[in-house]
Amino acid sequence: MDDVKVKTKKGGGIGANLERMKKLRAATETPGGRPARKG
Amino acid sequence: MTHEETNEGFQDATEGSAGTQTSSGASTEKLLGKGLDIGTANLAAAIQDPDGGIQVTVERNAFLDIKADVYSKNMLTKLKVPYVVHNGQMIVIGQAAFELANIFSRETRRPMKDGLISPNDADALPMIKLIIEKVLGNPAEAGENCYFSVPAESIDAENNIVYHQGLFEGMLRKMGYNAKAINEAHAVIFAELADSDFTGIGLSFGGGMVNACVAYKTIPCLSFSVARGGDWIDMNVAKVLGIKASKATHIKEQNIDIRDPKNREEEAVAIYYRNLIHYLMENLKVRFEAGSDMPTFPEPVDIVCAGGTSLVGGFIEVFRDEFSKINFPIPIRDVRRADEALTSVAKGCLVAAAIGE
Repeated sequence: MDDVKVKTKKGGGIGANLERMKKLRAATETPGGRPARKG
Repeated sequence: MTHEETNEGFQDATEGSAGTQTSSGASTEKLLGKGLDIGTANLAAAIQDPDGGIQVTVERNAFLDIKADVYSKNMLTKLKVPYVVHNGQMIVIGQAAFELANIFSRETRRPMKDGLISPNDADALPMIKLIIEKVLGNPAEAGENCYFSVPAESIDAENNIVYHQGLFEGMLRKMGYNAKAINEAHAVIFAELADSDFTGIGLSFGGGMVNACVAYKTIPCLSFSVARGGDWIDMNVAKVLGIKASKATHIKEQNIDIRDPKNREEEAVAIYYRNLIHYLMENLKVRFEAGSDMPTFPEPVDIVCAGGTSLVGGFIEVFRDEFSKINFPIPIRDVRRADEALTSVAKGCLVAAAIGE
């Protein structure tokens, strides 16, 4: 039997997720720093 | 927690895995933090590696206690199975515990039940701490962000999420992390729906629960869970076939296709899978229709499924089939499974840790 298995795998990075999230955050914040209200 | 003894294999495994990751990824970890999926069946820790990819370390959330006698000790040593000695018993953790349990027709002990820390096992907390330390390692620096997954309140069971969340917050803080919780289906949206501006429906099919989250531009509008998951399938399959639950888990994980069961055992698995999916879809529909503050989605949205229970062959096809039978209240563009369904929640937690909210 193998040792206790610690399975480590490489996955796609999260760079695109972070970029998209930063853009969203920038678009939904007013110049005063408060989030714009929806609807 | 103190353990009186460990064998060399355990020490090697610990140092050879978490230790190596910590040193190789140190420069990026400081920036991005870590993501931890605390699941009933598996624990998964995600970090960014130096070349921009991510590394996810997965371990089964289970342990097995073995009588601490010379015979058992020799057997574990011969099999090269790492163990710790805790309260006078030899404890094997993770995948090795699962494999040993199947060999000796025993049930593993599980630190979590129905998505939450097990209330009936005094050893649950020290054992899960051991597994978390193994997959997560130490922080690259004190106060490093670690976002960890928690379930939403269940609509069909009474559960105490506050206690569960508080326990793991405390544990991770003692390890030196700045620990914050994130709903696990929300984490699926963070991992899988970037192309849709994090708008859509994330479903996490775990061992103890299925969690659902509906989000509009990253903001969760609806989150809930049902207290049925992979363990519920195993328990029912075990009951109708007269076998142990761990044996049912083993059958379920043997590359079967629930669209085309080949024998009585697979037929039982397929029946309960379809029932679970239908149950979740019905509840999602009802909650969606009852929600007073649901956003109006300007375009059809995606449903993305993740979690170990979604890995079975034919899952998405059966899901689409069941979905077509209900009159869902909003237009859906696509139903799909996450590319890496088992590690999607951990990846979403890492995104949350990196963005810092």
